[in-house]
Amino acid sequence: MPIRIPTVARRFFFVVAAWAIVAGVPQAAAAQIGGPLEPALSVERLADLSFGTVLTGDWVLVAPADPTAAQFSITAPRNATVFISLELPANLQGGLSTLPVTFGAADGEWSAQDRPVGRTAFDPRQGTQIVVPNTGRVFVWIGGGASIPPTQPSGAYRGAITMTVVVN
Amino acid sequence: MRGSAVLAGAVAGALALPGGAGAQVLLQAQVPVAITVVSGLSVTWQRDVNFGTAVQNAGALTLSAIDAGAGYFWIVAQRNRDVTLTLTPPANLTNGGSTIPYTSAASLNLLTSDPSTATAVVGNTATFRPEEPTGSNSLRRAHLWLHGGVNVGSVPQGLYTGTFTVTVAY
Repeated sequence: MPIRIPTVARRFFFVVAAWAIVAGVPQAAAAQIGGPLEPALSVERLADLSFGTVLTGDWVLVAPADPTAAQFSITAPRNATVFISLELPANLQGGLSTLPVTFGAADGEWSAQDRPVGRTAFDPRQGTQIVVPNTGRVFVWIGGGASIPPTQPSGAYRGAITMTVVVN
Repeated sequence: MRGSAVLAGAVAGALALPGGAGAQVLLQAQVPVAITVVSGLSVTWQRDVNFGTAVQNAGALTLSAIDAGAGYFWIVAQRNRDVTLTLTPPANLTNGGSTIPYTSAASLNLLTSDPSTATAVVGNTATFRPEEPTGSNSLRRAHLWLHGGVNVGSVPQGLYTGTFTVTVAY
């Protein structure tokens, strides 16, 4: 048969218990009460996407595995599900001129490790869903391409990729 | 290039994940995308035209492409692209109000830096494709020499100069 404890009595019990922990339990033991800490959640930009210097009339492709691909890092609790979407530029801007850039179905890759092998490809135009591995880290790489018209004005062209991460 | 993240949206910075079921956290980061476009066309001065020292009333002095006094330029362009060369020589070399008439000449070699196999540029204009390989797979080089003749009459002593303009375009 269940025993009903009056409300006033329960409050008294918890106050006493809290006092006992603060006063009498060694610090090391107290730290164990909370269990292992969950990793912080963050998204970090690690590398820019750079197409380098390209001649007019020429084209350039940067694969996700190339050293000049964009790179992000996601830190999240293991086994959390993260949804990654990317806002990709259609054009880069250089003064008053624009230069089209393209992103293909295999221009995205992710991995639990920051290394060139063992990556999983995804379409950056579609985004992807990842279950965070035991490392608590996910690395994302983005490549792309550009074809330079012969009449394209010389100069520096810039844009940005925005990655949005939703964690459940 | 490595740098710090730009965080935007409703949540910024490092966060502890909410423990409740179905909770959502949204984070954003942004990376720059950059490219530098170059036309790959250039004309580079290597050496001036120099007739040296002449005595008064020396008469006609001539420089050919193979002479050390010939002017020298490199023209670099993209492979398989036509380049139009336009030369604008001075009519005279001048020293204050005194002048020495100059008759221009120019020679091109599309393949090598050997002036002895260069061909003459007629009418101060030419259209061609540089063919000498460079360090870049996309670029090729041609060689241009400027020379010609002067006629030294009874002119005051001094340094006589002029400006020879070389223009290239696709």
